[in-house]
Amino acid sequence: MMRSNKKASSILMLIFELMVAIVIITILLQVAQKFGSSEAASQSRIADDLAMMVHTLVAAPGDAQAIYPFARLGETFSYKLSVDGVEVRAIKSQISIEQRTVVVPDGIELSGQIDAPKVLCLVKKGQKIEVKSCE
Amino acid sequence: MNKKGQFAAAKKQIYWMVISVVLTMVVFGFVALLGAYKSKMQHIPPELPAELISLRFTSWCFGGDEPRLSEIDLSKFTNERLLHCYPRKDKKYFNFKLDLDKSKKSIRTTEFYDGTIQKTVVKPVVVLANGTMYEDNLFIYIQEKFR
Repeated sequence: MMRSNKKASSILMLIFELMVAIVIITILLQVAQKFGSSEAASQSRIADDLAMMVHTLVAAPGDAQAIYPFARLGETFSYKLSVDGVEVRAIKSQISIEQRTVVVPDGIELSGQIDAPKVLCLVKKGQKIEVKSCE
Repeated sequence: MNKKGQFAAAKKQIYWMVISVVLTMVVFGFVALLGAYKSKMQHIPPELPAELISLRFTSWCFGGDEPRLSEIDLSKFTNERLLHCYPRKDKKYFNFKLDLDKSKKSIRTTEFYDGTIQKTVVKPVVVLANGTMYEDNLFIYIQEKFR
């Protein structure tokens, strides 16, 4: 009687251990996938680039337009310019947001939002810098 | 359950307690390692955005009524005008100090402190003062950290 109970409990323990191992491996794979995906890296890099493009456009005399030459994955994001700065949001997972603060001179207005543009560009007209799709 | 069985069960419990701590540390360590690697790969030297910000500190900020590239009107080269051009809200951003070499005029953002200068940018400019024009050098001192 005692022997069969012990055997049953050891099988249960084995199943439990296997389940724990599977859960841990799944968590590690998900974390690695999240950090290793080129989408996350592209999102962060594009946010940095756009912030620097805004700084450059601010200093440009007169009206100007700058096209952002993203190679790939740029079409999977939504872009927004506002008083808070630059925001790049993944369209699939709305939680994933990259924000960069941009300090612009008084009077300069940052505006516009565009989802999944084919060609992303920033347009400066007068005192306004806008994010647009320039196809 | 006899004494041997009790001992085996207790041993398993201790094993799982130790393993759960170790596995938690492994998961957190893995996340930290990947995070550090990611930020290392994507690091942009702070001098680059600082230099791009400093582009505005010539004709755009201090230019005359009809501003031309790299032209500074000395009467507009003031702290008030600088703060208008660079109204820093976030304390973790850059501090700037601007010196006009020949004109002997210096302005700075409110948080700029005497100490470490992270980068210095020198721009040749044309200064307009009292109806005359002359060549000068604009020294832009950049600090990232705040006091």
